[in-house]
Parts: sequence; structure tokens; C-alpha cells
Amino acid sequence: MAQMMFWGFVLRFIQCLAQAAPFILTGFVVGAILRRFFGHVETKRLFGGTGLRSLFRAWVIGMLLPVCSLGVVPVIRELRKAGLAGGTILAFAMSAPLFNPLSLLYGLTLSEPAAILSFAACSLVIVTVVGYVWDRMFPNSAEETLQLRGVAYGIRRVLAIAVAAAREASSSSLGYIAAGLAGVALLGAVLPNASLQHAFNFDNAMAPAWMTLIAIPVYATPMLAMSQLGMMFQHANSIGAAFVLLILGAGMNMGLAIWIFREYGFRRTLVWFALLLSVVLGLAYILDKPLFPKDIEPANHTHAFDVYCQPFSPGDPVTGLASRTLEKLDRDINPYEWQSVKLLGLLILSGIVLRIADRRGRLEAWIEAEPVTAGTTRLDIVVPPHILGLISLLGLVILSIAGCYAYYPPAEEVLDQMYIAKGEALSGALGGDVNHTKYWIEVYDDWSRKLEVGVYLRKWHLSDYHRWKARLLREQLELLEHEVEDNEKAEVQKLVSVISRTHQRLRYAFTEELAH
Amino acid sequence: MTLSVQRNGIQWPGPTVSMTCLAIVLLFPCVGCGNFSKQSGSETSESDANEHDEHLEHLIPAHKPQTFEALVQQLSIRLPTLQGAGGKDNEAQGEGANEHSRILTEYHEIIDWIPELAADSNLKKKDWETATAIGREIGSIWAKHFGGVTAAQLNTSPGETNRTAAEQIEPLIRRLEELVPESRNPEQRRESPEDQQNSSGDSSVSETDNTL
Repeated sequence: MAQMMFWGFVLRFIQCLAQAAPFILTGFVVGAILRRFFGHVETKRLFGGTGLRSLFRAWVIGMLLPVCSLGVVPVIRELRKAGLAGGTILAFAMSAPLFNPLSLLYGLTLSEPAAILSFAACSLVIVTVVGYVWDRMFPNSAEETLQLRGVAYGIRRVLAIAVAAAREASSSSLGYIAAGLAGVALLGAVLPNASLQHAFNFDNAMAPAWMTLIAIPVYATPMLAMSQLGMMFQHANSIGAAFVLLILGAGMNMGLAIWIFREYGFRRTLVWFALLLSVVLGLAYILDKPLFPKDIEPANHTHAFDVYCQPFSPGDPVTGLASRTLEKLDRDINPYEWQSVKLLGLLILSGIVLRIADRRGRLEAWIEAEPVTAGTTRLDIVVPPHILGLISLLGLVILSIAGCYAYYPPAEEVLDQMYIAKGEALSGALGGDVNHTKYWIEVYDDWSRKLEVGVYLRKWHLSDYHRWKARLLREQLELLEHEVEDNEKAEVQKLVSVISRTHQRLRYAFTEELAH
Repeated sequence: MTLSVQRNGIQWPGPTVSMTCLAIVLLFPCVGCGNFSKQSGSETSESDANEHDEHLEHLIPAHKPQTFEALVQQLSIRLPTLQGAGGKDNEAQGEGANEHSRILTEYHEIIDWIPELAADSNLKKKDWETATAIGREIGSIWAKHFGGVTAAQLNTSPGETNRTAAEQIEPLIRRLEELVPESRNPEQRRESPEDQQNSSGDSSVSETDNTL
């Protein structure tokens, strides 16, 4: 048992680290840009100072930047140093991880896109109401704004970003990020395998409340939260619980909670959480019935939270857990995620080396050498640092939008991938290999959503006919998964044939019937 | 390890203690509950959830047709029932009202399944759009005549409403029937019409639910 808990912790920690790594890296870069290009005064101006306007700006900037609730840590630390009001910082911390262009597009493929747009609107209500009330209750939560020294022009500007990011990566930000990861990994150690499958059914009035309990230690990237919402909609689970999952699961984690506690103290943290949970739960119960999908037969379970429970079931042999953990990691983590983990490791290592080798900050002193105020020729224009910072942040947003086209390829490419996934899933099902089938069904399902988003991105329209074709495939895959788990061979054979036919029809629809 | 710090003259718990306390507070409910399903009032017990033979169910109503062809058949077959239900014979009986309510609800659900079952057939996009447009028309007729009407009201209302609705719905079903040949799979098309009738199944309404 203890061994399973240990390896469950290790597996979930590394899985989440790999998922979070690209967003954490982005967070360190954004924090460095704010520090070095904007400085504290301009950062404060960017967020609009205090009041409702700053809360709205924090929400907008948060929605645009591609960070998660762990990647937001270095950014909010920088906002704190810049002297922003606590409500604004916390509004940004809560809203930034909820959506990004990639996840919002993914969300639109869910059965109820209106629900996702309502969730986005409600997140604005939450951060505005909670932030405003909290700021009114604690008006002096901001730190004093200090004027930072400028950075010399040229290559030193670029180096300044790298150095600031590396320093931050080896600071207490790392501790908060590790605490956030430890929180979700602890859930993976202590919650029994598949124990959350029935907790969030549509007819369970307590579902949003239970979700509130587990959602704070839960860590979910914006994409993961969105795909979990997709699963909850597909099973017609509690919509209120889905809402809580998005706001608290994606927006909050243990590291963030600890940061708030350390920065603002026990009383302010308690008030913040009391306000937040009241508004979130209130909205969850308000949304629960009106947004419930009307054209879906409710299921008595969900698979969305299997990833937060023990990865090993009690019936599994205790021997070879280490090798099975490695196998799972090798299978589940994408190559780009490994690259991000390596880059993050390098950044942290650089930061540690800098801290040891340059305790007096000589590198920073060289970077901060008195900047030349004017160019040497007419064409050699000196761009003010905050303009560079603004361009960098806009560049990040544009890059994440452009990244959507890579992440959601054209229909032909997706269909090729779906063909491979179909082959693996159906042959696994016929052979009775549960793990293989479940893995490939997940891949197949994911590609079917990417197919919809990819077409929508390129045509700015997707007919109900095409949506139905993809949805039917997903519903049949879900049934297949259960039949394989229950070892119902006759039903599996029948479903394999049904899915093959559905796939053919989907292929025809997405190749021959798109132009019409 | 710092266990406490002095700030503004107050002795505060140090970061290590604070973090540990917060972690315990936040994780306590999760560690203690083991399985949420038991506490949430779900039918599945704790031990059930931990076992692998547990059945995860997707409820499929018994009156849900399996194919588009069966759906059109059901709309046609149930039309006279719709027409006759709630007539004067049933007025004084509570059971009659409930039965009428059930017939209407099931009929409405079958109308709602048109987009799904049309998509799960060989119908091409244009025909699918025709089928769903007809479905919307039938749905609006249904809503006009029966929308927001309670079972008690249905019981006291004359069968005239039902007859008018049925007369308006019937030509639309005929239009759906025209799409049925295109909706069949190639192997179904090769079968004789009699075989098709036999294989489409689902013409009888069972009281029990099918579960997968």
C-alpha cells in the first residue's frame, strides 16, 4: 500500500510537472519581461493602478497570456513587487490560468459552447466581485512601488531577460511551484483508484460542494481543465461541479494558496478564500440547472477525475511499480513536454549557478550600466524598454494564437492520425487489452476534437452536421471503453464494427462535404 | 527550520509550520474521505467503486430507436396513439393523464433524436439538414399544441387538439420516410424490405431500460 502511494505520488508529480513545464517557462519569461522591460512603475501603469478598472485589466491580460496556475507564480510575485493592490494581483492569479487561446478554442468543441462562454463571463464576475470587496476590506495591501534601474541597450537587454528568469527560477517561486505539484501528487497518493467516478453525477446536489473540496489541491493546465469539462458534458455530470473545477482546479493550487497566505497573512487569506468560495459556489448552484445539456443521456459516472486518483488499482501486483511508473511516464508524456522539462531544468540550474557564482550581482550591475539615451544615427532609434515589453507580451499572445494552427492541424493530417489511433484502439479492444484500448481511445477522442477545432480555425465555421459526426464517434468510443473494461466480447465486436462505419462517415464528411 | 517569526510585535507561525498547516487543512477532507461516492449519496458503495467489476452505465431509454429508419417508423406508428390519447374515455382517470403524458414525452424525445440518428446513418449533409429541418418543424408543432401543458390539463382537454397536431405532423413524417432509403447502410439496402422490417427491431416499446 505504502509503495503504491509512493509511486502514485511520483507518477502524478512528474506527469503534472511535464504538463506544466511549458506554462511555467512562459511564466518565468513574462515575469522577467515585467521586471526588466516594464519595471515596477510601468507594470503598475499597465495594470491600471487600483479599482475596478485594474481588476478588469488584470482579467483581460490574464485571459490573453498563456500561463497556468503554476506559471502564474513568478508573474504575481513580480506584480507584488511592483506595488499592485492585492485584489488586482489575486484577480490576475485566478483568471490567467483559466483560459488561453488554445483552450478556449478547444472549449468551443464541447457539447455546449454557450456554457464555456458563460463560464468565462462568470470568471470576470468572480475576480471583479471578490477582488473589489477584498480591496475595500484591506485597502493597504499593496507594497511600495520602487523605481528599478534601467537596462543598457543591445544584447544586454536580451541577457537581462534570461538572467532575471534564471534568478526567479531558483528563488522561492520554485518552492511554491513544487508545493503546487506536491498538492496534486498527494491526491494521487491518497485517493483510491477511480474513487471520484461517481462523486459528480448530475443528480448529486452536493457535487459542486465536493468539487470545491478537492479542486484547491488539484492542479490542471487550461487544456486539461477544458478536456475534463468536455468529459463532464459528455457524461452530463453536474454542471456546477464542472464550473468549480474550472475556476478552482485550473485557477488555484496549493502553491498559490501558500503564497497568498505568506504574503497577506492568515486573516486576509481566510477572508479571500471565504469570499472566493462563496461566490464560486453560489454561481455554481445558479448555473447548474440552466446550463445542463438537454440532448445528452446522463451517465452515472465520469472519467474526468481518474487522473487525480491513485494510478494503480488495488488488484495490481506490488512488484515492478517502478518500472510501470516509468512505462506510464514514457507513454503519457509528449516529446515537447520532455523538451520543456529539460529547458526548465536548465533554467533552474542556471539560476542556482548564478546565485552561487555571482552573489554580489556583478552580472546585473553590468546589465544595468547607464543606458545611452539617444541613437548614434537617425535610423538608430532607441526603443523605450516598456514598448519592447509590450511588444514582447503581444508577441507571446500572437505566438499562442499562431500555435493554435500547429496544435490543431488541417483535417487531412488529423484524419491520418485518427486512422492510426482507430487501428490501435479497435485492435486493442478486439484483443481484450484494456490499458492499450483505453490509452488509444483517449488519443482517438482527443484527435476528434482537434479535427473540429482545426476545421473551425480554417473556415471560421463548422456545421452542426460535422459536430454530430465527431460527437457520435466519441460517444461510441466511450461505450467501447466500458465494454472492454467489462470484457463483453460480443458487444465489443459489435461496437468495433459500428465505430469503423462511423469513422468512415466522419472521414467522408470532413473531406468531401466541408466545402458545401 | 523556522518554526515561528516575529512580525509587528506578534509571534506568527514560521513558513514551515504555516505551509504544513495549510497543506493539512486543504488535504484533510480528501485524505479522510476515501471514496466520495458514498458520501455524495450515489448508489455505488465504497467497496463497489474500488472493485474492477463495477458497472459504469450510460442509460439508454427503452423507447430510443436504434436507427434513423426505426425512428421514422416509431413516429409513424405512435401517431395514432398520440391522436387517441387523452380523449374523453380517459378524462376521469388519473392513470389516463399519466399515460397520455408519457406518450407525449416519449414522442417529443423521439423528435429530439432526429439529428443524432440522422447523423448516425448514411444520410449525406444535405439530406441530414432536410431531416433536422423537418424535425424542427415537428418540434414546433408539438410545442404549439402540447408545450407547457400539464398532465391534468391534458386529461381535461378534448382529443381535438391531438387530432389537429397529428394531422399537421403526418405529412412531415411522410417527408422523413422519403429520406429512409438514403439513410440505410449498403448491406441494409441489399436486404429485402421484409428483412429490413424485421431487422429494424425496436418497434415494440418495452418498460425496462437498456443499459450498456
